[in-house]
Amino acid sequence: MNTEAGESLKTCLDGECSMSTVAGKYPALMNCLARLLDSGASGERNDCSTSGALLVDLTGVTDIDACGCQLLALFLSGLKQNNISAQLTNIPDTIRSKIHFLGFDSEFNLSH
Amino acid sequence: MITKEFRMTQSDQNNNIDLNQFNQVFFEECAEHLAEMEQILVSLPDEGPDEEQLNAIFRAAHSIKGGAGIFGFQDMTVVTHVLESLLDRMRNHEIPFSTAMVDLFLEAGDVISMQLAGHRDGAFVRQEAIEQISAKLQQVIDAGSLDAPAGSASAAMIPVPEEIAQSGTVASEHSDQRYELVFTPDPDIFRRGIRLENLFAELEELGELTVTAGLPATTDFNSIDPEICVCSWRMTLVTTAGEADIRDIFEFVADLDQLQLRTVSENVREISASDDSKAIATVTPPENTRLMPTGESAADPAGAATGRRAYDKNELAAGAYGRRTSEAESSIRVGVTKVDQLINQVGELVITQLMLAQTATVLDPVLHENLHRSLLQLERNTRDLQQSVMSIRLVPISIVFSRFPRMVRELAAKLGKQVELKTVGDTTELDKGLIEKITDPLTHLVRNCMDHALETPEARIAAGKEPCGTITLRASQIGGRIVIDVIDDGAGLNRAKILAKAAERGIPASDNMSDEEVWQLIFAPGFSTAECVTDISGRGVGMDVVLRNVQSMSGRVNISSEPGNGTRVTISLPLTLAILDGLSVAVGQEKFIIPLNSIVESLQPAPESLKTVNGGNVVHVRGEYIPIIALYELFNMDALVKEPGKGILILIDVEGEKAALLVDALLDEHQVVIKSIETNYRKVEGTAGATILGDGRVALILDVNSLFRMRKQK
Repeated sequence: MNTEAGESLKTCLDGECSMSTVAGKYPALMNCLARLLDSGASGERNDCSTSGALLVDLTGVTDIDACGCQLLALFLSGLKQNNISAQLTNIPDTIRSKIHFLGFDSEFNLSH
Repeated sequence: MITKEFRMTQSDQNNNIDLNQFNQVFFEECAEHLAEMEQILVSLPDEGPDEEQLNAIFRAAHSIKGGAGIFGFQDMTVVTHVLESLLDRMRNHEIPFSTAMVDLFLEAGDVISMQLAGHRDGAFVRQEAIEQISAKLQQVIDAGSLDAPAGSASAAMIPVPEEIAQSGTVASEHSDQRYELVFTPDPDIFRRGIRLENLFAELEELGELTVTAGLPATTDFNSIDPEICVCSWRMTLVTTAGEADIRDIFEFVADLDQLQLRTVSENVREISASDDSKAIATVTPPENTRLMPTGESAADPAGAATGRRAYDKNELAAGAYGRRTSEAESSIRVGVTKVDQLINQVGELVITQLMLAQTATVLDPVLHENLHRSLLQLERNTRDLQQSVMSIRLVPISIVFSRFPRMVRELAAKLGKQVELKTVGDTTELDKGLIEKITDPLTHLVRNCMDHALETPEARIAAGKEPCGTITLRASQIGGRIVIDVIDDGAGLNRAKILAKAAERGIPASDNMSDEEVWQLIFAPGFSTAECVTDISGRGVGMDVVLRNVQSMSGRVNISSEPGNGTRVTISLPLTLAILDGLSVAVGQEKFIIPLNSIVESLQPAPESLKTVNGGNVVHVRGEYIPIIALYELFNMDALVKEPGKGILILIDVEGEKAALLVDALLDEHQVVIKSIETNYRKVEGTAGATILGDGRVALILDVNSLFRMRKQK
């Protein structure tokens, strides 16, 4: 993975993100984290609005529940612990509402 | 700009968990709550429910609603929500009880049952019934009473407790409170299929809710289990609802230590009077604010033991929280198929033990003393194990009895009769399979009692009786059988009328018949003395069905009746259909098992007691001529003994019908495990199944009822 300045990293989540699917999504997220670490993506990049932050694209997410939110929050937390900043992006309105309703706004650094 | 994507697809769809098992638990619990609700409603006195009864009905409705919401059956929360609201108003003495409410609540229960059947069995659900009952319940809430005209609700009409009215504190009693909740769910909560969205939505219905999820301070993402919940939620709720209402929402999902509820004693509305928009933000917990352990009520500063919910004052009351917990800990739900599998396996073990015991009979008891002792021990242990396993299938007959109070109540109203239903021996246990089959016959019998046996109040008074008739359902265990009596104190059977009707229908009968024989006539197909056909009974299809159903369970029906004093119908059933006490007999090279409960005696007949009547052999026993059934003839096989005088006769009696079975020899008494011959081979007429004996041979178990039929056909 290229982590040079000016470069943006992106990962996409698709489909349902819920209790019934987290077990399947987890290995991919773990793999994503491992690859980011292997590629040396960690560093002092706390401002994802500039560059080098991992963008977690939720365009394709059709549904999310508390379990799905937790997985995502733990993933973001894992990134943060490794000094990789990340931000959710392209969040569908329905998903944003659910995230808010389930109380994960602050974990995801979202304003409602 | 270079963009790298790690795309995660839906390959994980295969990991879907099976929520069906959780739904099943909800269905069962919902049915139990409905049954409990109905049981209380039909037993209510005219003056209405006491506090505990009302609370119990409320709990049932609330539990159904809570479970339905959590398990995603939102449609089931519609009726339960409005029912719960009405019950809550009644608990708060805002709406008075009236007897008509019982019917309304029963109707609501029926609609919820219909919805339950819709989800569980795919049964048709009438939407208009849901809308109608919801509207009716809402009408009562709006009107403030069931009798008041709809739409006339006003604050003035709602009775306000005097002390509140006098103090003028109604407004403050219903003003907003701010609660802070910390919910740390069970780690398994996701796996249990509980959807927190539904939980939060219920909370939001109570007022203004804000939710904040929190993660543990440090977590290694590479070592988590994504299905395990590690989050906790901090919530603030501004509501007029009480603490009990909030705790109720967590009833299904939070243990005692998983929910902390913190209340602010100051009134939010008072604080926000100056600036509503900042009310929540500006409220800070005063020094006396405390985190209340679950079970303590904010409204109960003295810390009295009010239980998890404020209304659970009696923790030992049926359905109260404390009781539910202990019940949950002391019982588990297991599928019937698993139990049957276990019973079958133990049956095989019993057969193996019998084989071992038989093999050991040829071994010298002195030389092999230890082996014989061990085999005896094995036999004892096997029998104990078999009894213990069989007892798992036993369920209390109250499951059947509990359906009758409502039926009696409704039929009594329809027929203009006064009837009291008494049940005795509700805890008597019966095999689950028999419980399912006995329901219809009992229903027929109770309906017959209501329609024909019990008189109208006027007729009863004229006969010098109390205007209210009594039907008693009594169950008891006598030896290896369960006896169920259906007793009424009505007019009794009319002998002359029965004989006349029998003659009219061409059923053989005579005036010389004993009472017992006359009473048996009512079991003839199509027999009915009812002068008019009603939708309750009187079509003459009841009693023969009763007899047939009971006989199919290896049971018997007896009737005793006294003119003017009532009738008693007694059903006798085996304790279980899986094992049987029998006598093994030899006929030629074969062995048969005769059920012990049908054997009267066995005898070697004296030559002078044997006669021939109408070409058939009979034996004269104590003044009675009893037909002889030669098993070798019936089953078309060779026998060592073909002359009744040289063999052994076993007298059998089923429902008063007697016969003598001719066999070569009596062998032994056994408790045999019944195996279905139909499943493994095909139906063999005259048999009720088969068993495997100690020597490994298969022996047919005789069905004595069908032997009678076979004899008559021959």
